Amino acid sequence: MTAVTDNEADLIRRAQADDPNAFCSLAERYARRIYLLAFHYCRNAQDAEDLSQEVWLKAYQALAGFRAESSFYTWLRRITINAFLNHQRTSAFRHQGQTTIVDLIDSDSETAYESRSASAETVYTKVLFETVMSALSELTPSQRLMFLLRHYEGMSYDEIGAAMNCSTGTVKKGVSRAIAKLRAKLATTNTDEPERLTRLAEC
Amino acid sequence: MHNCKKTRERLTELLLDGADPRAVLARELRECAECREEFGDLSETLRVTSRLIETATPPESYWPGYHARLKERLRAAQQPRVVPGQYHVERRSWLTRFVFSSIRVPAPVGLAVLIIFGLAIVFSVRVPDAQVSIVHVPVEVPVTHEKTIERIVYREKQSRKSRRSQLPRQTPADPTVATLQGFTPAEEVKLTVIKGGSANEK
Repeated sequence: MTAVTDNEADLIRRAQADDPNAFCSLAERYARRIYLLAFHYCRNAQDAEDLSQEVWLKAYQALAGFRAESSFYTWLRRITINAFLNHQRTSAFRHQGQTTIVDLIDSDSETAYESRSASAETVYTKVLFETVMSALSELTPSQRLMFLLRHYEGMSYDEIGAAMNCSTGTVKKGVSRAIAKLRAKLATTNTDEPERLTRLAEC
Repeated sequence: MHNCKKTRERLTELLLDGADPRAVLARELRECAECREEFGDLSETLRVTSRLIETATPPESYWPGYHARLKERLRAAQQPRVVPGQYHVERRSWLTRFVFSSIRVPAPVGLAVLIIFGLAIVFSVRVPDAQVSIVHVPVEVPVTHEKTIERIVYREKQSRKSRRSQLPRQTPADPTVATLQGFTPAEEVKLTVIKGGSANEK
């Protein structure tokens, strides 16, 4: 079944005919999703940009082989997973685990999670954000990727197992461990946290 | 029969699939306080995580720069690399380009072509089986008559005295003389006399 829309199919045809502008239009459609996956996988904005752009480069080089047997995004996601796994094997992330609550509040960066308005809700969100990132950092890269693909991408256990070349049982175990970590971490962030953080922000 | 472990596993699956477990596991959640608590914790964890994942999306102002950098990297990847001291791809002759050209062939097709090619070579090299036929050719062969006479002569051992007395007399019953009498040789006769190998023979 071909799940590629007409407009997208036209862009793909043009990109396959070596039109970089058409490819960039395709990239604009899915860049956010790929970036978010990369960001939560490597937990750093700079590494996320590098990794997501590496995915796009690989996709551009492999585009001639795209036969529209699945949706463009499904094909792209496969390339993304392979790029992530290769990246994991070949090199460490440059800024691994450097995102802290201080960075989030004080940074001049343009990312949404780094807003300078230190309202209680914003600070609480940032604390939660850091908690989630901390929980994710305690997982292995593979477990982290399994959780993201299952929870954020909505892939089935079988699909993830096939894409990551491991058994369904391993995927289930990885996802289950990720959820347990997140639960344990989030349980420590109680409901009184916004008020406490408001006082902290006002100091 | 209610099984907390199975209910919790089912809860996780339903929540990860974005379904509402209260519709599917209504009875379990109503009757088991632990499962109800598990449902509350789990749904809150996944809801918060989901929201935070989306929160990490950079603002719109970030993307033009991102795409400009991506375009730049694509352009850099497109340009052929020229290494000093090596021929540029465009400078190659059409023959060189033809020799070094490659085409994408599906693996089964390639394999089939290889097998056919291999079989063709095997059958062309193989020597055909020689057909057996009987041809009668008259050949003149010079025949040499050859006759071998083998005779073992046994002689009685006699005393010297008696031998001496008998020696001059040649009796007609002498076996050697009698045997050769009347023998007519053929055109060519080869006669071989083999004597016995015993010590008392001469």
